[in-house]
Amino acid sequence: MTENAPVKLDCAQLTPRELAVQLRAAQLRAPSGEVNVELTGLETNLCPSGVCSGLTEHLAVKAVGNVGDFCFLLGAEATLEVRGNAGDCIGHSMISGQVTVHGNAGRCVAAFAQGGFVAVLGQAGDCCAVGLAGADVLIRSRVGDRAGSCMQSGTLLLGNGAGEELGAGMTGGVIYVRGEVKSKSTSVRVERFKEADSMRLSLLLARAGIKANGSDFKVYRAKGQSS
Amino acid sequence: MSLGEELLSELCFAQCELPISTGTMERAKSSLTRTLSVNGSGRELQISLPYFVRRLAPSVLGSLWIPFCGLLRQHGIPIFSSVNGLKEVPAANVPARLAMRYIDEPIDALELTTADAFELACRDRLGRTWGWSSELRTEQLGALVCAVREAAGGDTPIGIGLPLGGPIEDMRRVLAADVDFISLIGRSPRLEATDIASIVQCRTTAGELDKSNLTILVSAPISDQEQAHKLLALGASAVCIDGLLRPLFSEVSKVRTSSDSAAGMLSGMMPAVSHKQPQLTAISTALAEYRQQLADRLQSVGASDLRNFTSHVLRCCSQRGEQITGVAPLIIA
Repeated sequence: MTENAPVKLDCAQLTPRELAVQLRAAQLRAPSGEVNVELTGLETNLCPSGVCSGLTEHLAVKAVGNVGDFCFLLGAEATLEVRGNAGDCIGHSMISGQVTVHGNAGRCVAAFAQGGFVAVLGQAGDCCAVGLAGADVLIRSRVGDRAGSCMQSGTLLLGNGAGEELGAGMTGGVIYVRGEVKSKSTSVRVERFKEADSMRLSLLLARAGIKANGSDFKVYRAKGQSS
Repeated sequence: MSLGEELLSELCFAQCELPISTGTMERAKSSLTRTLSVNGSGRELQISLPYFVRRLAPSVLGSLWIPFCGLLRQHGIPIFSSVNGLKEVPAANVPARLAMRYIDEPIDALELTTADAFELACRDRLGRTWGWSSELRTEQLGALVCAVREAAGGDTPIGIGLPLGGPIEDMRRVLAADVDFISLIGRSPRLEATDIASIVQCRTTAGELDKSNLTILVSAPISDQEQAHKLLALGASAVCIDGLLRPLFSEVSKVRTSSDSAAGMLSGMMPAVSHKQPQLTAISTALAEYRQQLADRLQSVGASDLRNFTSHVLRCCSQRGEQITGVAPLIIA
């Protein structure tokens, strides 16, 4: 095995416990630097749940196929790229690192995430970024209702409108939306787009590999919160 | 007396008629250990006594907190506490720590990875609109438990907390979710009949799902040892003893308040008297008594260990009690 060749793990043959052990062992195999891991066997309907939960090593994990619920829960440092769809609560309580979902994601994307970056290039379900506490979240396509509810800090970027009750119970952080918002909560206000917002947006979009300057986004912040 | 207390008072222990040797007595004392095992891992958490403490915190106990933790460690009784709560406690005095988070709250990595067991509690359906187990599908609950277990390193017992007296469907779904333990938490200050029915139902359902060894932690408002023993016999694996310990602490605070005021009036004339030592002795004695009384109980009903201490050792003297608990009727010859 050459140093840069990815470690291939077949999820169809491994239990969640075995997968977690193998992922931790993958880091130990490399003397230094980032290790590439490729997860295969995800083409079946039985998507494994909890993939990469609690992963705190410098791993670059690429999941070829669909993953289940609660993936990357409490994850840190590592990066997870899902070449398919993800279930509910991906990036729940994550600390740092990056998650990219090329397909669609379920409910509660990045719920309570404290840091890091989550990008969903397809659609996301309801309660996206619920209780967000510092992470940055990008949803490129449509998103369900109650996005950004109970958000405390961090950034939520919605590329194709929002559903009902945007930012319900939000106390901090910022939501950028391009497109139509069905309804916003009474606890949020629309703000003028500023230069600082433009820079912030450009950086986040670039991080997700999207070329845009973000000038057509609207800014939503919690009432009583300074911009 | 609440309905639950009334119901428990209608239950009595069936005395074993065979004579018991001293050896059996010694064995009974050493067989009060409960084991909390982790699915998919060889690790086990041993609890020396089938009791635990849930709501006694530094804010309640003040300066008694640190020695109290030492006593719990000495007697092998775990405590629900945050990391912060045990920060000041010397390492030698730290008891087994159980941690708890609601399922609609962020999971703290430090709380999770340093806990001896971790409970994901569901909110009461009556009080909240989000955060009870039915918000998540059964397979999602299983996925959450599995993900949290892996995030904790794979060898920490992960359980789900449900309100006592909640819907049976919730309980079934939790039991089907591959949990390491289930925790039933009382919601009213008095013991209700539905609380007791819940415990019995939980044990029965666990048996039906081929999980008869599943650990069931019960946090119900009990007021004496007898009630604790009856809950253990009805299906609880471990019982919260806050209700038994709290009166000891309130006695303590009464004594302290009166002595403090006397010391204030006579300041300079009499040295301040520390009541800490006798208070701790009283609590230590109580904990030792709990162990002795439970061992005596096992001996009196002829149970060699806690695994044999089931509802078969109970008898019920009311029809209502029989219906709720499924305990055999008391037959007087």
